[in-house]
Amino acid sequence: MSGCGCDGFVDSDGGFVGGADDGGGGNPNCCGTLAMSIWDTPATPNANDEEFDTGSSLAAAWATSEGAISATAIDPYAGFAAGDSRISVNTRRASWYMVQPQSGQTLAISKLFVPSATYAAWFRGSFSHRTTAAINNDQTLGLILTENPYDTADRLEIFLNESDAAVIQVEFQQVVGGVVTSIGTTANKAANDQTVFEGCLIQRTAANTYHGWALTNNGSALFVGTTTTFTPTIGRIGLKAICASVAAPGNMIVGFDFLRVVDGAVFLP
Amino acid sequence: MTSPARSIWDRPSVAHQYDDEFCGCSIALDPTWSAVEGSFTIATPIDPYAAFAAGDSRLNLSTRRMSWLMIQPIGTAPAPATNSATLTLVKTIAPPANFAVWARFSYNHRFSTATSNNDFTIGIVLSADPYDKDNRICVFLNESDVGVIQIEFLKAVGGVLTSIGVTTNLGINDHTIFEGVLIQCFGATDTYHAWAITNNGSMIYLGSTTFATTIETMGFWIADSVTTAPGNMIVGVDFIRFVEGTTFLP
Repeated sequence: MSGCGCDGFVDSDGGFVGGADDGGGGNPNCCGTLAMSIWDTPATPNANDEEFDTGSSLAAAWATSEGAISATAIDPYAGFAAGDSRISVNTRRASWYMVQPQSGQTLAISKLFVPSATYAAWFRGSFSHRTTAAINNDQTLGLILTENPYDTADRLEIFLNESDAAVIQVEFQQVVGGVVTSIGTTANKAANDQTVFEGCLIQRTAANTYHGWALTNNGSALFVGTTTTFTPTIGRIGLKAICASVAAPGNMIVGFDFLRVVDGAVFLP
Repeated sequence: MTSPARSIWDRPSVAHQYDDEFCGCSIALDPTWSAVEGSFTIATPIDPYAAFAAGDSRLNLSTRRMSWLMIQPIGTAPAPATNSATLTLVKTIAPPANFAVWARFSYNHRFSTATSNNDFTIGIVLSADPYDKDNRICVFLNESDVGVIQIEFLKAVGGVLTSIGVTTNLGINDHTIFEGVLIQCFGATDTYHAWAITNNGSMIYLGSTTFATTIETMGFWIADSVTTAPGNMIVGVDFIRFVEGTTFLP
């Protein structure tokens, strides 16, 4: 390897290997100051935050609310419609929860959530997809707010990346009494392109009133819409992953960097 | 005080011998690299407003942009469509049967309808030793044909180019969000897969192909066919990394 002569180094996107300046006559630009990112961990975490940066398994607070988890390792070249969804926590990708859903199975994890009257819940995620032959809902990952116990018929959700046949989009929707209502959707992107959105946020500003946002890497945010008719009492918060295809090269992998909660009515990162 | 977010671009805790982070405190390119197509100079600085079709491609290591190898290629034919390059830098490797090679790139381009074919191209290339442009497999983070920007996975066998996968075309006044590319090899079947990677680790699968040439060199394939205003476009390489095994994706 061509090594770095510095004791300390800041990569261009925030990666940091600690140490002091090189102190010698080397390249004066070799060491620098860390850039801040909207994805940085907050100075004061909320009790509901999950950074997926500890250990190699899900914290005990999480329960599997839909689907099941397999002990088999993620393999981007494995196509499988049985055997349950595969996960990796803080291992395959450091400080991320990675999921390779079983095709046809929704894997949803959730935990108890006793929110304030006003709050924002948000996550950063990623997904893989294919240039060709994408089918409806090839891959989906999203944030869920629902009742306790977990109720698929009464929930609010926003999906970072959702694929219909040949299109990619971000969608904010509610399900009340089993009736699905789309609140907002971003522009469709072709299957052989990729959305710039990396994060999603749901904000509660008043009773029954929730707003959805999609977030880019630099903090640009797209307002996806508002609902004022979501009446269920939120008691659980969760993350959902879906894959609908076993086509080559295999079931697509999605990932969650973190889930965070901020109390108050005006937060946007 | 917050903690910095982890990034897929962060350096691995254990580097591979074939990795290059381009973060040396020297301005010289590591001697394992050699130019097998074209030539380069470090003495003449990169200038985004310099248009030149003679001389050498200009390199800057870790000073113009910290821990990046920046390249301002000479603006000249032949372009990639003719199966050659402005500058190809490779190093010799002896890979195991299964491996992945990936890199992070950047590029500049111009907002103009007058862009020529292959205004700029930068990608990973794998080939034999000595490097053989007629027998190689490569994936390009940014490639421009007239009025479009795309990422392409292709191979050359006996000089015949075959396109394996291409991302959607973007208008010249837009910009792809893909920053990285990856080629994964399954040696038992001579099968190669390629992916394009975004900042958050989202990926698009570009396809797979078989390629029988024994891989002995890896490097970068860089092309520039235009010298129009404001000047030859600059491309950059943050790193190239090598991972052994069959399931790696960042």
